[in-house]
Amino acid sequence: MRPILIPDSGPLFSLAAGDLLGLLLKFQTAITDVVKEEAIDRGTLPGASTEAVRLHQFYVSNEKSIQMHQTQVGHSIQHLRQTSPNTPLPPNAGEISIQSLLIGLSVSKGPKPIVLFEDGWFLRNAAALHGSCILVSTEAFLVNAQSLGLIPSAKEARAAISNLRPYACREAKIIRKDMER
Amino acid sequence: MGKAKINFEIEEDVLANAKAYVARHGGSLNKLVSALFSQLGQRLDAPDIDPSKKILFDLSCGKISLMEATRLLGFQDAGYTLHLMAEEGLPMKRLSEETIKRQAAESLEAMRECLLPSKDKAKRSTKKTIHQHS
Repeated sequence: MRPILIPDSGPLFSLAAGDLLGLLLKFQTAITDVVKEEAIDRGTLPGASTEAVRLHQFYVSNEKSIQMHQTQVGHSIQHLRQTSPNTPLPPNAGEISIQSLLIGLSVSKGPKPIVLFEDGWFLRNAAALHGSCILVSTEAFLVNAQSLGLIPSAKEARAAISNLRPYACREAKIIRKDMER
Repeated sequence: MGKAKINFEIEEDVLANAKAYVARHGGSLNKLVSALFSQLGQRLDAPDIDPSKKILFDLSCGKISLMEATRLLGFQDAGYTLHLMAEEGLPMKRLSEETIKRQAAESLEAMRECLLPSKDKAKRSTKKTIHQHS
């Protein structure tokens, strides 16, 4: 039985920023209902960002290849919305929904899933999920994608993300300063 | 005014970051620490930081997630938060190279197992099966 790769919303936006979403299709990828709402469904709204639109288009084009898991958290939010339709997602709902999915998967005794979180997440929460899954940061994911021959270079992939992500600004400033010297 | 010597301990990666900063911007660690210390009193009198910048700064430090920052800023999706970070010149939090290497090593086998058969391989396998049956 093949383990599944569960990306959180942050890495989805990072991969969208670097036009690297296709990498997810190389793996058995699954998302939670809440992550779908906060990352993918936002791409349908008027005025959605480039990344959100890209995420939505990617999902629509590859819906059959990406598993979507209903979670208890998602179910509870939907239940709340029956009485209060405008109930927003609570803070950290995506992360909590992944934890909810992990609990469900632990009952099935299958292989440990791989959870892809944004890099900063590890500083705050890694201990909470230790043992129930294999945690991987976006940067480590790219390093392994290179090792598996899926991308030519993790460094280039990071640079692709950086073109839209804030690392780009810092690097651009350093380059500009070097040019001014 | 005379000068005094102090000793203190800091994390190695913080020191490496400070040294890299000095290397890029010139000066010395002495001057950098003196400048930071001398600003302390002034900062207490300074007006409050713009709340949205505080949120972006917390995101840059890894204190809050991208989605939480997006929620606090009232944006409809996280793409806008990424672009605002870029405009403000704030980097996203990055893990140390050592941590990335360790994580990559710990997760490589699982990622290999998670790989789907490539389409070429699947086609070859199907052809083989058809050939065997004919």
